Amino acid sequence: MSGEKFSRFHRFAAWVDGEEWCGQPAASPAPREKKPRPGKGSSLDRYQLYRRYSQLVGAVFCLTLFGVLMATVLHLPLFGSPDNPTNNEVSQRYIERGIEETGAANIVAGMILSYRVFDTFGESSVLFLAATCVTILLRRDHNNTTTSDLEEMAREDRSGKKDRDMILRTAVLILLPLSALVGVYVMLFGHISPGGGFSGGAILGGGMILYAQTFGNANVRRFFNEHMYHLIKVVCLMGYGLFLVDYVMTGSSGLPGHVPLGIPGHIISAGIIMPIDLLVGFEVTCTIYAFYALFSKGEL
Amino acid sequence: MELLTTLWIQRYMVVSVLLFCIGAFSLVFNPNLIKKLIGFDLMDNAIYLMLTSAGYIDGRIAPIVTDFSAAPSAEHFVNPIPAGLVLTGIVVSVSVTAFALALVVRIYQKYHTVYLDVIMASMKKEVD
Amino acid sequence: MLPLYYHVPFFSIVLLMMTGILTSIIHSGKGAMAFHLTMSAFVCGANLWLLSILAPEGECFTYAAGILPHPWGNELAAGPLQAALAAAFAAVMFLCVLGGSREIFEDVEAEKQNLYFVMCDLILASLMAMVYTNDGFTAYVFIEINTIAACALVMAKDTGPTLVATIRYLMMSLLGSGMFLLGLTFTYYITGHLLLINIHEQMEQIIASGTYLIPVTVIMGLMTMGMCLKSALFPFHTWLPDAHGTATTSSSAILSGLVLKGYIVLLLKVIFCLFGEANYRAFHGGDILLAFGFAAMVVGSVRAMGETHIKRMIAYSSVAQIGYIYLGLGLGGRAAAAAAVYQILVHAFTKPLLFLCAGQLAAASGHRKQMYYLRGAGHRARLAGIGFTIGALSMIGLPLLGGFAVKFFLADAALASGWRMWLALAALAISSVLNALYYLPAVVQIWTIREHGEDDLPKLPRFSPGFAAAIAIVALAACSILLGIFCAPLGKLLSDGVALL
Repeated sequence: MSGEKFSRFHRFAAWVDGEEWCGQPAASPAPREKKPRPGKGSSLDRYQLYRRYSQLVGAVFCLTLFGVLMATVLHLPLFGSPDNPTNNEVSQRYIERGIEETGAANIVAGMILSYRVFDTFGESSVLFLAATCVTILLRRDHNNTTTSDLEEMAREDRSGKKDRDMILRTAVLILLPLSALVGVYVMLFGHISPGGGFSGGAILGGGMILYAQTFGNANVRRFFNEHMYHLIKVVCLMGYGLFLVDYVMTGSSGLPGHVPLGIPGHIISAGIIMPIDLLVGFEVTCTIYAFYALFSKGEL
Repeated sequence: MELLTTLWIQRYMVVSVLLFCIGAFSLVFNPNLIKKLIGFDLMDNAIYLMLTSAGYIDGRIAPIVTDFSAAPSAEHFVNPIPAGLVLTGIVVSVSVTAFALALVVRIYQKYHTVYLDVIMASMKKEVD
Repeated sequence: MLPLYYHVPFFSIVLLMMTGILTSIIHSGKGAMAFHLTMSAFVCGANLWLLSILAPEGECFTYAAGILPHPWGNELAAGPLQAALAAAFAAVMFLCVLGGSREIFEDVEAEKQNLYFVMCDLILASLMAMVYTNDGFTAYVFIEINTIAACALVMAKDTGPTLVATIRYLMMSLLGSGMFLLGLTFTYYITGHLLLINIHEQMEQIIASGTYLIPVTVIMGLMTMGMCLKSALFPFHTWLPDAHGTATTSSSAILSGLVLKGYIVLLLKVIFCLFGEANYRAFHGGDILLAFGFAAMVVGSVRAMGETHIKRMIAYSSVAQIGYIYLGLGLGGRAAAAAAVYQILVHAFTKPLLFLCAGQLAAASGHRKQMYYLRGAGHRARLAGIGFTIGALSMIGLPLLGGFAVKFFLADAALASGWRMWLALAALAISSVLNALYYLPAVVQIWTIREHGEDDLPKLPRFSPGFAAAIAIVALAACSILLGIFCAPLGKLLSDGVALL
């Protein structure tokens, strides 16, 4: 590769790949040691050959896949038509009797948190599982952190404390209550308007990340430390699980649920949906912030 | 002509199939781990696009009831099921992405590269 | 009121998920393990109880996980086959964790040990869900839980090679679940349902009327390929030896014994409950599985012969053994499917036995896993040596052991399947010989007494297996022998169960 002139296109492709820009010697990824076997078959050539070959195979594979899927798409029911097989008695019942059976004006929320609540509990567990895995991988221990990392982090903290921008701080102080308000609103009104636990939690978590970015993680730790994180996460998920157990036990036996459905359209309505939305929302808030803290600092 | 008309009507599905294939290609055949993950997200989002377009019906509105005086009629609203499935699916792919990115961070700390083939070669050297 | 046993499937899943959630705040690893073991034993017992109720009458039922049954809400379906599989999975999980406990506490970071057991809980919960679910989308969600948790088990050791093996495993799995979800989306397009029972009804109509033949074919292809990718059928097996070979002992045991099987059970449900077996065969899905199963049996064994690393050898042997299951699924018919399920059970008990014993033998040889260093390890760790021998002989197919029963059932089922008989019998014959060719030298190697001064290996002390591991090895070995001895009643149970799917 040395001394070889690249064509304009190659350079452009390399630039798109970010290879020149990020300084990662990706165009010559071979270790800078001596070549294992001189002559042909040096490690560099072999890499390039391998990459070309695999990309060729991949291109053939994906073109085949594309052809097959396009053929499928042309034979699927037409988009937007009311006579499609998807518009059957299931969606009809969800819409026509959803309010009566779940109490939720937002039919999508009613569907995922009552008819298909078991799926949705699985979904919250996936999020819990991902947070646990990220903790395993990134929480600081002697295996994944060196002392130089720690020093660098401490230096960043110190420099962060000194020059905090006044405009940024003021703006965040204005934005923060707003984001908290919107987050809680989206959670609380998930059953009567668009929204729900996950979106509300994501907004609230975003607000927390904003606060941590501006004022440092140490300030967040004053009201949200690792104990709080575990407590909120476990209480929320267990609460959700208990609601689920109660709902399924009574529902499968044909009994009426313990939580009254209320008047559709009011905040306190829709049975288990509103409390579950709140629980999921707080769990998501914790998890989103935990992702941020673990990725950036390796601790909560 | 008929083919073109069908393609136009099915445009969302055509685009999502295209995205799915690009994503799958990147997920499997790109040696860069970050690009693999971008491919994964592209692939999943293509499926969500396809799923969402399954629920759309021309001229109907989002399934949120605002008028409680009469029982809602199925003629007014689009199909709510795909929207619910997509909500669930999005959370799943967010979780998987977070996990995979954490894994990439650790791999980068260990091997100082995100190119999988380079990593494999250096591992082989370790064993030899 | 429903009878109490109707609630067993739902409670098995939810209890295990809650166990996982609570385990994340138990600080001591030992406590987390005790909690996990208690719950998996409890779930195993509950499912055995369910089996004892369902099996005599051949009863099966559906359970609405919510207020409405199919086609509206999530639903679980249970029968003798599901109960048997669930009980077996819980038992294997219990024994794998028990048997590898010492290695878990050595290999996993002290303050993160409890999180390892969170993963074990959630894997078991997701396996239960995959076994019992009657809903395509629930299956997808729990596939993802299973994927993430299984990857976490691989990386628990936290060394460079395990991290790389994890990411390769993850990428392959993600492609697989993406394909499954795309298949499910197409299915929803043409049937408008997500519950397997209703999809099946619609599928019958669609295939009879011949309207959506191309989408149906593509759905079959996507779902089958997705599950094959995740269960490491032959051309997609490349991630398996690294993932299973580098992980800590009980992770390897759980991954090969349980995680691969979950996807195959799901594929079984896709074939039987979603498409209907006759339809699946009419589209030549069975023949494709048969061909790839045959290839896997041969290629897996040949690659295993070339390995000198004992855990990688066992991992390649898994590739071959997965081939047997696909051979059974591909042959078609109730008897062959029952043989495939029997192989699922046999492999679920035998492969963890081999992994646990291999881990012990390696530990007795100074934590070196190359075959060369294992010479005479059987004398140093006698129990592990005996267990390894039983497992290896079962894999080869010695009569009175589980592996033989599987080969017998497969051959028996093949006799009724026309030209496929020759392919299946040839596969069984070739693969038995190949299995013997790599397992027997390994057995001979571990029982060969080292003459003093014959080689440069240091003299090693005798190795004590530890009480927990001893129980696990004895129980797993006993199960693989019992599966061989009582193959007639068990085979009948499974064959009846398959008929009820």
